[in-house]
Amino acid sequence: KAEKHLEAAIPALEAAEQALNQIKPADIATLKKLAKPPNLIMRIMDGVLILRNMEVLKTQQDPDKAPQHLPVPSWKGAQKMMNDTAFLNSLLTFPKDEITDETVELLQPYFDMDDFTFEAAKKVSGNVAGLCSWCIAMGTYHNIAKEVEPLREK
Amino acid sequence: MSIKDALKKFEQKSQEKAAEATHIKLWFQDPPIERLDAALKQCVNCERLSLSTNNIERISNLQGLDKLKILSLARNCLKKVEGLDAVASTLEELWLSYNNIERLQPITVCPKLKVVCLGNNNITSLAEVEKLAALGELEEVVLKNNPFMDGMSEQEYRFAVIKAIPQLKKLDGRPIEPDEKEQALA
Repeated sequence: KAEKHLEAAIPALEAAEQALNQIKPADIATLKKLAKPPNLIMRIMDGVLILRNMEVLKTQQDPDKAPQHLPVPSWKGAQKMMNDTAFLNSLLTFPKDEITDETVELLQPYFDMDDFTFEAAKKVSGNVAGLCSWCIAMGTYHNIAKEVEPLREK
Repeated sequence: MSIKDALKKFEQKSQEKAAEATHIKLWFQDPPIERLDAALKQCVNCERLSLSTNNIERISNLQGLDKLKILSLARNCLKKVEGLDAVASTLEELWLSYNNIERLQPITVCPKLKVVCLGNNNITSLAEVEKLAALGELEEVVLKNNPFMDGMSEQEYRFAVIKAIPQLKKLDGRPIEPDEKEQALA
């Protein structure tokens, strides 16, 4: 029964993997050079930083989005992360069973934003929108795996 | 935003009463919450209180949260662990990653703590981490990205923490296997 339940996460995981495979190293090379990429792209990269337990900035009003408050994106940290040539591969092999409840709660504000979707990201960034699908799939996987765990133990 | 207003918003959105809800979601308010106040005491049924991604500077006013098991204050502006006495007898998980915490000492007033998250803080010495060993029920900690691990390899870091808190089952979300524990304690 537990296994069947976990199958519910598979389509999201497969979609995420496919989306990651669409991203070419050249896409990342272009992206990381941008001094000021679209705000949505910077927020998606914040999601990636949080999933990897890497540093992000404190919550402060984002001058770009005033008067609406958004966490100011940690673009410099994201650029540094993308300098690693193994960046894309590290996402494909990401240890998704090590995601914690706390991490998923930290992603929640991003998931709650209306434009945090593959479609919206695709419009502003092309292939790197796959990173958005990846963040969402990691959250979905964790939540389903958590429900399944007690069933497995039985 | 004040706690009172944030709770009002939560009630509208979730269609639950703050006095009845078991999981109260106040993460990332616009504008961010800056302080915890006495309005929290109406959350008498709350088991999980989510206050992450705000600008809270101190832990206070937890009186009346008699059922609280999970307190999430990740990604705020906390400098120390404090104000936990009111929930010490029930608290099982404390999520404090992405703050500026340097010292942990009063954390040991909560004997039931199973999970403590402290990634991306300002813990500069392993001696501070060793204080967590006094928590007999502790199973999981997150400590990734604290200054005390600067200059350590990933392996040295894991061994040091496992040695400091031998009862641990998971570190940074990764289970501690018997082999790893044996090597760490050797």
